[in-house]
Amino acid sequence: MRPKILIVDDSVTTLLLEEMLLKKYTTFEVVKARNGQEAVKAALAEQPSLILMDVIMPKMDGFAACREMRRQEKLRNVPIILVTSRGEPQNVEEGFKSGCNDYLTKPIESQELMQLVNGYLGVEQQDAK
Amino acid sequence: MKNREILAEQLQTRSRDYLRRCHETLPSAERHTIWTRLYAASERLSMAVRENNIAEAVIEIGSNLLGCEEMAIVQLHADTKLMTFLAAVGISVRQRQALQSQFSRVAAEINRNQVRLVDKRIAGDEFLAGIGVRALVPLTQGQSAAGAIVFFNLLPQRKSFESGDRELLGLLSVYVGPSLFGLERVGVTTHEPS
Repeated sequence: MRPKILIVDDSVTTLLLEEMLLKKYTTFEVVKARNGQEAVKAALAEQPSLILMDVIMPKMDGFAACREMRRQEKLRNVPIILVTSRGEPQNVEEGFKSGCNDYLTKPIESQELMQLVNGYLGVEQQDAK
Repeated sequence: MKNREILAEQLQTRSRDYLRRCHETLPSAERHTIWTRLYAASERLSMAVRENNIAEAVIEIGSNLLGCEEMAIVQLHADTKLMTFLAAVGISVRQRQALQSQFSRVAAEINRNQVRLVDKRIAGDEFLAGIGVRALVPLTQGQSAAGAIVFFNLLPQRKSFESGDRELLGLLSVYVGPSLFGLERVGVTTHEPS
């Protein structure tokens, strides 16, 4: 079974962009969720190697989902990158408090995203090839 | 229904072309990001044309691909000199009034029928800059401008629109007008300013 990346966003546009980049430039399978609640369920079920997650989403936002994931034994060590339009320092700080590993602001730049993703997946991706 | 399908198919053709260009370019190249955004936007617009929710898609593209969460889609009514807000997000009452109270000047700018990246240092941009507009995207119905997408302040991480944004704004200019005004009457979404 191929290792997975979970991408979470209520914006179809961002999911399209991330999915295209990750499918082209990694060997990982891409799994999608549209809000924080779905993300927690999907993460527990799919055991991804990395999670890219929006912050402002319906039902459960990215901060709450991140905190919930960190409470789960199975997800405690999975790298989480919050991807958001809210790049103000207080939001970044809240993101790290919620347990994320990194923070990326929209609009997404191809190289910035791939460098970040490869930084977390580099070793695992080599193994998967 | 048939026109809608034709428009959606045109956008799909565009998205396949942008995808091919992405794959021919390295992610380290600046153009790669531009192709990527054009791919996501054209694919999203194609879906929106089919699902009849183009205004919602435009707002989403503005926020996610252009870094702007203060924007409005307006329709011009030359006969009554009124402006209808078909969709808006994040704009204040003041911004809304600035557009409505200066109908003739705003309409004249839209009727130039060019995507405008507003720069207050440039002669000719003073009026739009003065009412806080950062970019203006005309939307056509047939040969004439029937409305516009008006962008106000960008998110803090973006200082200004860049030349690479012009292509994405151009894509919106070409395809959003026909979908909103040129086909059968479409649904209207209104997001109240936050």
